[in-house]
Formats: sequence, C-alpha cells, structure tokens
Amino acid sequence: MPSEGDTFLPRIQSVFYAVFDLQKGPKIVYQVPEGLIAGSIANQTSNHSVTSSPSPSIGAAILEPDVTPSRRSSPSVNSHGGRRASSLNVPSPHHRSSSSSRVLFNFDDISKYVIPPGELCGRLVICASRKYRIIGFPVLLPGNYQRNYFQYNVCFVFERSADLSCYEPIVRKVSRVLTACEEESFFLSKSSPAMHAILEQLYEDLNSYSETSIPIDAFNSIELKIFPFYPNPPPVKDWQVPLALINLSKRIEDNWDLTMSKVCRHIDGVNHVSRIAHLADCDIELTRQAISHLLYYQVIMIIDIFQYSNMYTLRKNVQWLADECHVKDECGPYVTKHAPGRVVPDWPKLLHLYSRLKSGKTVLDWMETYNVYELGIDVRRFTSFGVIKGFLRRVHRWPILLPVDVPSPTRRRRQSLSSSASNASPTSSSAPIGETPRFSGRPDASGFAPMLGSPINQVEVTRAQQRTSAAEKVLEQLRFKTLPRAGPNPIMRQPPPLSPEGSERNHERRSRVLSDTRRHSTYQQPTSHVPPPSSVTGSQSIAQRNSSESQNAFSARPRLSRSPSTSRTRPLNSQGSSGPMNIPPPPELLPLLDGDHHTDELCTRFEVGWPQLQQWLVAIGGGKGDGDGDFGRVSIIYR
Amino acid sequence: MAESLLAILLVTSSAKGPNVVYRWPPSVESTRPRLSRPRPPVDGLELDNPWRASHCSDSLNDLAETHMEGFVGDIDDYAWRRPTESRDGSMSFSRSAIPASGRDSPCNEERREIDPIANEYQSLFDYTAQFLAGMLCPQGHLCHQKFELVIDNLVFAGHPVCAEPDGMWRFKPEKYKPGSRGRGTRHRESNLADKDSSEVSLGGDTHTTATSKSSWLHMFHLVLVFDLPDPSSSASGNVARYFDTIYEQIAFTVTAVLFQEQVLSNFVELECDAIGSLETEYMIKGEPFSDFASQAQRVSSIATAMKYLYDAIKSSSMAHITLNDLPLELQLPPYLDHLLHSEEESELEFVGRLENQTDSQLWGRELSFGWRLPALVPWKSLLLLDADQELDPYANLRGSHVHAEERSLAEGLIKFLETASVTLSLADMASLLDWDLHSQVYPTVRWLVHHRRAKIVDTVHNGLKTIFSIAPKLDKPLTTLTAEFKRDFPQSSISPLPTLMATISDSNSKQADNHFFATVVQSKDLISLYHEVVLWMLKRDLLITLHLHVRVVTTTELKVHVRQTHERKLERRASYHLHGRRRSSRKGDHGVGDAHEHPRVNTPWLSLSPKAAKRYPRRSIDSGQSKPNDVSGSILLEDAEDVFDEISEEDSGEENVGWGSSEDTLEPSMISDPGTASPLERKWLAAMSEGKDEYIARRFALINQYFDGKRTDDEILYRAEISRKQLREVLHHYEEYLQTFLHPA
Repeated sequence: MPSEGDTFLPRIQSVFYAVFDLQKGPKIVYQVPEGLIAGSIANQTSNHSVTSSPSPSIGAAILEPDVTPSRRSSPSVNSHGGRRASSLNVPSPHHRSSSSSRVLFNFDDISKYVIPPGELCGRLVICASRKYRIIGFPVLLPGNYQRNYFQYNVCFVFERSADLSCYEPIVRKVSRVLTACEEESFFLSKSSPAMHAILEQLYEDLNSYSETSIPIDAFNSIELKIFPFYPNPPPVKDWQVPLALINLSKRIEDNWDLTMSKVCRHIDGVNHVSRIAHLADCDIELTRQAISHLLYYQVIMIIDIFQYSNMYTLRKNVQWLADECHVKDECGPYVTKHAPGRVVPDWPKLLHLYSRLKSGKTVLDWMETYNVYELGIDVRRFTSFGVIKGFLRRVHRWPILLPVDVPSPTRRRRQSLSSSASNASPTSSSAPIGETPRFSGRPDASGFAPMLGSPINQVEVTRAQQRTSAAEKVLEQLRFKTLPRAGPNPIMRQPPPLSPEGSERNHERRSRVLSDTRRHSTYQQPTSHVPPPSSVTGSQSIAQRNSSESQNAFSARPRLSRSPSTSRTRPLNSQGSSGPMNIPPPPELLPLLDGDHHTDELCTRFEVGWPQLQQWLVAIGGGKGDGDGDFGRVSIIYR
Repeated sequence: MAESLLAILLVTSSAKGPNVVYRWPPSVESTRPRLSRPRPPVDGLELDNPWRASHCSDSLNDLAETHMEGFVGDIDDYAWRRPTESRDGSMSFSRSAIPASGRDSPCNEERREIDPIANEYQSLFDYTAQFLAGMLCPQGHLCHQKFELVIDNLVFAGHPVCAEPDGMWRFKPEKYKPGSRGRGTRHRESNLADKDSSEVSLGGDTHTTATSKSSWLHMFHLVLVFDLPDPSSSASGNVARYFDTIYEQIAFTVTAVLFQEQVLSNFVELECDAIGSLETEYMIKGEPFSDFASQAQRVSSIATAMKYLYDAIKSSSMAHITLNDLPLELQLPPYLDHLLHSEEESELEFVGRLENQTDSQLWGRELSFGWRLPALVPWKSLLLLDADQELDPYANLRGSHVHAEERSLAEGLIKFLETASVTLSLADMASLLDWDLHSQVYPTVRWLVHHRRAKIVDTVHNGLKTIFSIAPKLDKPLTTLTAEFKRDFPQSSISPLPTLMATISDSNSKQADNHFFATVVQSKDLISLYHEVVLWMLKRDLLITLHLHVRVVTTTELKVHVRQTHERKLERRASYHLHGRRRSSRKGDHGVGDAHEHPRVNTPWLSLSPKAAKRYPRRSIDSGQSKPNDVSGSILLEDAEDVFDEISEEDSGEENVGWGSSEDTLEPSMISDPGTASPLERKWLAAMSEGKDEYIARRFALINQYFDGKRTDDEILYRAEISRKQLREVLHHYEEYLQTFLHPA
C-alpha cells in the first residue's frame, strides 16, 4: 500500500536554466521564480579547484568584474537579449540583492553538478544542498561553437525530502526536446530569451496542473504530464480472485485495450484469474497483465478462491476492527442473503461465527457446527467480507511428502502408488507430461494441447463416487437450469474413455471446478462432506473433437466454456468408479509436495478441485483417506 | 539488509586534488543503465499491439530467434532487478560490457591506452577514480552535512568533513546545534566508546587539538555507494527513508568517529598516507589491484573497518569494527530492506504492531523503525538466541574492554541471562532478580534485542499448555528446516518437523485440548525434550502463540431484563406520585425543554421527561410486556423533586443513564470497552452478575474492564493479578455474556 504523500506530487520550488559561459564558467541564465538561487558571489574562487580532471571550466574561471556588459556581449548566451534580457538574466545584481531574503542555496555549491565535466553529461544527476534537491540532466553538445561544444542544463529544485521519481522522465524529456531544438536551429545558443518563458510555463503548469504543452517552434514542443509513481503490484497468480473496488464497467471506454475491456467484465469477486481468462476468451498471460494493471492503479484487490473446503482464521487486526463502525454496521447487510422476512443477524452473532473459523476446520464443517445455513448467511460473502476488511485470513493447506525413511506403515501402499504411476505414462503418452499445464496462450484452439491425460478421468471417477448427497442434486439442478443452449449435449453420454483427449478442455474444467462451489453459495443444507467439483466436460469435448477435429474446436469453445453440463456425465461416470486409486496422481505432483506449494496452487496447476487432489494425496501418502486427516506419508500443514 | 550497497569508498581532498584513497570491494560490479518506469513488459508481449499479442506464442518458436530476441534484450537492459536476483551470474556484468547499451560510454580515449593494471587502479564505476573523487568532494559549504548525489542509478551518500580554512582540523561546536543535528545525536549506539566519540565530535567540548601543524588533508568523505532501487519497487518515500536510515546508522556514525580521531590524533591522514604509499608501491610493481586491496587491510584499520562494514551490511549482521583502537558496533535494522519490497507489504500482519505509541517509546527510537518488534510489556518473555556469532554475550561481558568498575554490573547481567527463559515473564524475572522492571530489566532487554542476542516472545506455559499455530510465512524452505530439525532432534520420540507442524496447525480446530501438550507432547516425561523443540521453533519464527481475547456481549434477554427492572421502578415511582399529587406541573415544562436534547444532563429528573417516559411504556409493549401506559408524563413529572428525594438512595445510578438514547436498544450488542462503559452499559454489566455467587460477581466486576477484545489472557492475568484458574471460572460462569477469541496478539 502506498504511504502517505503518495497522492500528491512534490512541488517545484524553482526551475533554472544554466549554461557554461565562455567567460564565467557555469552560470544560471534564467531562473523562475527569480532570485531564489544565489549567484556566484565568489566566482573568483574557482568552483573547480578540487576537480583536477580536464575540466573546461578552469580556463573560464577568470574573473570578469563588469558583469552585465560582458554577458551582453557574450555571443553564446545572450546575443539576442531583447526586451527581457536585462530583467531576466540572473545573476544580475539587482535581483540578487532584492530577493536575498529568501535564497534557497548558493549556486556555486552545486555548480559542478549542474554543469559537470563531460563524463556526467547525458546522465540524470540529482544533487542536494542542505535543504533542497536539484535534479537535472546536463547536456554537452559538440558542434560548431566557439569552444566546439555547447553545455547547458535545465534543473528543477525540490524540497530535500521530495520523492523525485515521477520527475525523472520529465527532466529527461525536457532535455531531449531542447537538445533537438538546439541541434536543429541553435535555439538555445542563439536565442535563449524564449527560455525564460519556457521555464515560467514549466514552473506554473507543472505545479498547478501537473501537465503542460509548450510549443517551441514550428516543429518542436514540450508535452509533459506527470504521473505519480505507484509501486509495482505483486505478481498475479492464476488462482487469485480479483475484486473490483470501483465500478469498473462504468469506466470501460471504447478506446480501451481490448483485452482489458474483456477482462473487466468478468471481474466479480468470484472468478479467479485463469477462469477470467477463459470466460473472456483471452490469453492467460494477457489476462494476468490486465489484472496486474488494475492492481497497479489500485482499483481492484486480490482475494482467494472461495471453496467450501477452505479454512480461515482471525488475524490480530480483529481486535481493533471489530469495534469499527465500517465493519460492524456493514457486515450484517452485506453477508445476509436478501430474502423477504429475513432478519439480519446481529454483530455479536456474526463476530462469534467469525471467531469460530479456525485453521483445520473447513467452512463446510463450520457451517454444519454452527448451523450457518439457518441464518441465511451467504458464506462466500461472509468470508470475503472478513478478508476484504482484513481481519480474516485464508489458511492454506501446504502438503508435504515425508521422505521414505520415516517409519511408515504404508509400504504396501507405496507399491501401489509406484505401480499406478507407471500406469500413468502409457495412458498419457501423447501428453507432454513435464509441461506446465498453463497453456501457452494461443487464441486458436490448437493451442490447447492435450495435457495430463489421467487427471481428468480421475476427476470423473471420484466425483461419481462422491455425488450422493441431496445437496448436490440441488446443485445439479441449478446448474442444469443455467445451461445456455446446451444443444448437442444430451447425446454425449459415453463414459469418458481413459485417454488423453479427455483433458483437452482441462483448462475450462479447472476453471469451473474451482468456481462452481462458489457460484452456488446458495447451497442448501450441506450434508456432503466434500463440495462438488462439478462440470467436467470431458465427454463433451471429446465428442466435439471427434466431429470437428481440432480445426473447428475453436468455434465450439465459447459454448463449451459456458456450459458446465456435468449433470449428464455423472450417471455415466459412476460406471467407471472403481475407486480413486485406479487413476494415478500425475508424477509431476510428487516434487511439488515439498511444503512450499499450497493446494490452491496445486489445484490450479493440475486443474482439478481439492477433492481430487485430496484423493491423490491419499494415494501418494498411502493413507486411508476416509474421514479426514489420514494422508499417510503426506503431512498437510495449515498456515 | 542494504542489499543495494555496491561499495564503500574513502575519498580525500588535498592540495594535490581529490583522490579515492581506498575502496571495498576491490572490483565493483557496475549496474546497467536503465530507466525508471512503472513496469517494463517482461515477456515481450505488448498489450497495445494486437498482432504481436496474438502471435506471441508462435513467435516463441519461429520469430523468436530473429525478431523477438533483440526486442526482449533491449527491454531487459532497462529493467531493474533486485540486487539479490542479479547476483547469480547471468546479470553480473562488468564495466566492459557497458557499451552495448547504446549510451555513450564515459570512458575516454586516453584511459583505454593505459595498461590494464593501472586501469584497475584508476577506474571505478565506469568513471575514472579521479573524476569520481572530484564529484564526491563537495564545496566547503556542503561539508559537515549529509551528502547525497545520484548519477543515473548510482547513489552516493555520506557525510563529508573538512578542515578549517586555515588547514587545521578542529571540532566545530557551533555547527552542531542540537536542533539541526538532533537526528544524529539521538540514535547513538549503546556502545560506550562510540557514545564518547560522537559526543566529543558533536559537542566539541574537548578542544585538545593534538595536531598543531596544519595537515595536507583538506577533506575526507566516507561514501557509501548504492544501486538506486527502482521507484516502482516500493511505495513513494520509502527509498528516501531507506537511505536516511543507512546514513544515520552507518555513514554518520563512522564519520563521527573518524573525524574525532582525525582531530585528536591526525588519524585519518596517517592512515591515508599509509594506504597511499602502499598503493603507489603496488602500482609500480604492477600488482593487481585486488592484491593491494587486501594488503591494505594490514596497514590500515580504516581499510579493515571498511571491509568488515561492507561484509556485515551485505550479510545483514552486526559489524564489529575497530578504528584507532576504538571498538564500534554498527548495524542496520533487520527489516530495512523490506521498505523496498512492495510485494511483501501486502502482508499486513505487522500493521498495528507498534500502533500503541507507548510501545514504540518503550523500545526507544533506534529499535522502533525497521525492527518489527512486538510490544515490550511485562507479561512477555525473553528468548535468548544462539550465540553463534563470534562474540557471545558472556565472552563479551568478561572481555577485556569491560571496565573494572563495571564488573559487578556484568555479573548481574550474567545472572540475568541465566535466569531468562521463555516460561518466565519479564515481570516475574524482575521480581526474581529483584530488579526494577523499567529501569533495569527493560534496558537490558533492549540491549539484548538490539544486539540480536534475544527476542521478545509470548510466555510459554511451563507444561507447554500453550496454544500455537504455524506462522503463515516461513523464512526458509520447509525442506531445509526439516533437515535442520532432524539434525538437532534425532530422537525417535519426536516426529519429523512437517508432521509436527501439521499436528500443531490441525489442533486449532479443536474446541478443547488444543494446546501443545495435549496435541503433541501427550506425556509428562517428554516435556523437557519438547521444551527444546518449542525453543527451536520459536527461534525460527515458526510458531505463533494464540491468545485468548474476551468480549462482553449484552443479549436481548439481558437488556429486556434491565429495562423491565427500570420500568418497574418507574412504575413504583409513578404510583407513589399518583397518590400524592400536590404540586403544579410547572416543573414539567422545564423538563420538556431540556431533556430531549440532553438526556444526560446532571439534574436527575430530566431523564424522566415526558417524552422519554412515554416511550418506555410503548416500548415495553413492543417487547411483549404488558404495562399500564395510562400514566401520563405530566403526572409523572409532577413533584419530580419529591420523587427524587425519596427514591434517590435506591437507584442512585439512575442518573445519566441514557434511557431512550440510541444506545438503548434491545438488539444484542457488544460493550466495546467495559473499562469506560456508559451508565447504561454499567447497568447491563451489573445485571449480568445477578444471581451469581458473590465472589464470582466481585471478580467479574474487577476484571470485566479487560474484556475489550484487545487484552490477551496473559495481560489480564498480569493486570488483574489473578490465576488462570480464576479467570477460567469467570469465563465459565459468565459464558452467555462473554465471547472468546483465539488469535495472535
């Protein structure tokens, strides 16, 4: 989060234009406002006494006592002095004396950084006096000049504590444009009076409007706008859920980036990044970048995927936040499902419910224990309210596979694991097993190479096993109703063959697996232990693949993605349900079980739901798996 | 810490011109030129180029070699990387590689002609050493103050000091007004020698100028060179705070000591002479610069100190350096670098940690920033860390530089260290040692924490009946930790670390027996062994202690009950007055006027204004109570004075109670701070004790002020001076009115 002072830009205290004068060395030609920077009181003592480098200024350090006439006669600085010259040339005795009451600093102290030796030219230089920082971009232009070069610098002065990062591009650009003008028409060396007006406008406009447009000649102009420098957002992960903090849809304009406007429409606090990518029909990497952009401008925040298998715990902030009006007053109305005659639970009740969310206890367990359903609370909104307000924290599961030398009663199981793992390779022979399942982002369907043949089938199987509860039937009905144009679906009733094609759509499937539990937070009477990972479209996609081959698959994709037609596949799957062990976990899962990858990450990576992953972990660890907690050699740390 | 530090330079200026006397490390990695910008595209995708975006994946295969490669390379050139990332080979590129960037290389022609050995001595960060020295020796006006110069992505920070115009080195008392230089004076190290030196150099009271003859040295400047962190890496202002801290803790402190020694014994000049002659010798012999750099360590304590300082800053440890036989301990706050990591800021665990102003004051200024310390409070404990550094506290205390008169103090300290334990709160320690908590225990704790020999943790129960959870973030990969754990605890009775952690984290879900003993230890014989395990895990920040917090809830029944009681009282009063109406209703008008606006005005009868009084009967009907409401307000108010006279004894609390105010609802609510409860809340609290045993009721009345959800169980026990059992008793008896929370403190 940005610290204070992030919203306003530092104020320019002074702008000055300095050149290397043939007679006097470095000197300020114009400054705005005038007289703030004390001129060379001590020009006699050369500024460069300490620099023994071949500094061009040494020769110029010869004192010129009669200041004004010499300057006027100087061809490089002021030959076209004009009306302004006399009043604007700054170390003019008049101005210096009149405004000496408020002098920021002495030019001599910093002149060697303003008009430095050649090594520093073309570099952004920030130096500091006791109370001010001076940012400039010294330029040295070789050419047909009296000394064969022309040296100048436009510097901005700020308070010492100012954060100048947003001015760096400004300073560079001013320098770039002026250099171009000088190269084209000797704008600076011949006729510098216009510089005073330029400085004035820079000073006024940038301080007042943070932007400016200064036409210089027919071809050149200085166009500037200051953008505050926000810190970069953390990298966006596929399993994260963006949540809009403003009404994004109102902001979308026609000239927005196409990806951005597509992505924005699917940011609803429920969809996670890879699902958004899928729904918006966008490349996953572009989606990540779009989300990242929104994060950068702090118009969205990131929360976690809601699942009934999630666990949450209170953070220490709750001790303060529980007393805040914006928490206790908003909570009830936000988390309650709006139904006629429903009483919004009071805050003590809600707080009590929050306090009973603990690591090791899934949301589903918690709902059952505290009869949350009866209260008419939308559990997804309930948990995300806590996360958004910052007093609730998601507890992730971090599985770790213990090394073999641990005395473990599961030797037999491990054998079965290894044998099943070896089974896996022939089935998924066409799949690039080692490849990251994040597809590489092609808009055409051929980009979705078949990957990880086994997982998909296993999802089918395990789901079939688990789908026994009434709640799931309700869910299925719900899902069925929401089916858009499920045209060809009813015919696809083949059981999913154990073939790699089944996973062709695993991206979509994953999206839905993780999101369905959330979508149906109107979930009734949760009696099943495991939330239903729904909507595998294996059979469907196979059918389409068969009919149209991969050529036409693209056209079919949008519909596929929106039609989680699992209700049909389920009864068929049950035929093949010979137990979770017959579908082996992907071999790539094993190295990831090192305690540094949480299950959301693993689920997104392998594109399965937690129930499936749970089965795999049981299989890998050789635990009994029934009930909860026995994963054999796999330990699951909640943190 | 200070991952961005590139080098430490010692620059001097003399009549012969500026010169870089010494630098460490000998070969400095140069940084690449780059632009500050919000977020360079990292992967060659361009969001605003549909064609490229749509063909991105294709190009990975065919286009990449030809087109994309150069493109990505260019971008990469300007991208800022965190120094720790860039250390690994691919990025570490020496100054010779620079010209590829397309920017004019500042190396000028003649430098190339010099032979490579001399070049090594001469060049620094793509500049000639001579030139840089010139830039780093500012005008006299800029001496004796903080110096800062940024050239592209190099930051030079230091505190140049110079001789007086007559060439004499003298303390300048007038320059160091406490107001202008206060920042430097307050953060002194606790190290004695250092304190002396800074006071001397700042205060300037010892005017024993040893060097009567003027020296050749005009100015010296210890410069720290950093790679400027990209502004996009952190929130605005953090970069400035980062450099300020380093300046205060390192640059200023070391310069102060050097300046003092220069004034007192011409130390810096002599050292510069030694290093300078060595350099000439090595240069003539044609030895590589690195040989000179290491040889210089033998002739100069400044050179050694610069090396140690650099190494310590890079390895984020304490630097123990010696300058002219003055020992110095320097360090940077351990969490300083986190200022630059905006990603981690999203972890809000530490927000509010030092919210309490007094907490941070207790730690003192130097420990309040970048240390992320828990509050220093009497009910926490001290965990001594392993003395794996070369200096363990005991050796240090018995060491030679402890003065004889401090010997007894040192022995006291040793006793303190021997007493300290995680099962002993600081308050208990104070009483055990018979030390004063604030004047003796806290300073010792601060010193130990500052020197990274101890940290503050929550007190662990003697029988390990503490509830732990697992820290959300681990500093090291779990596999490393597991291996270390296995090494330290090979006993078969202790399960491997992951299992242990899994057990601990799962225990939270249980409502009872969720503490460490019940879930992990399970046998009294193993307590001492597991005590070590807990210590091991606490030292690595793996465990978070969960604390009980309590809040008071007023239920609807309670509120109804209180209201009924009140109404019965009103009724009694009303009936009393119905019998004896004697007075005019003059008083009543007065009551109406004020009472509505000020329900809590002191005059007692105002709370019985007609409006308020009417509301009660009506309300009571709502709440299902039948009550005669024909008692009109005017009747009620007649003779209010008399009423007051007669019933004031029995309900003296009735005044100020916000009957009818917005607070007075029948909705269940929380009493957010029972310690400062409103009169109505006090009524509710009192009503909770109805029918309870007197001793319990009294204890509840005593401790309910701590039931605000912010105090931990430890704090309540300490403050109320009750036992855990007594607290549990209260919680049990008042169960229906109390909500308990288990979360980190």
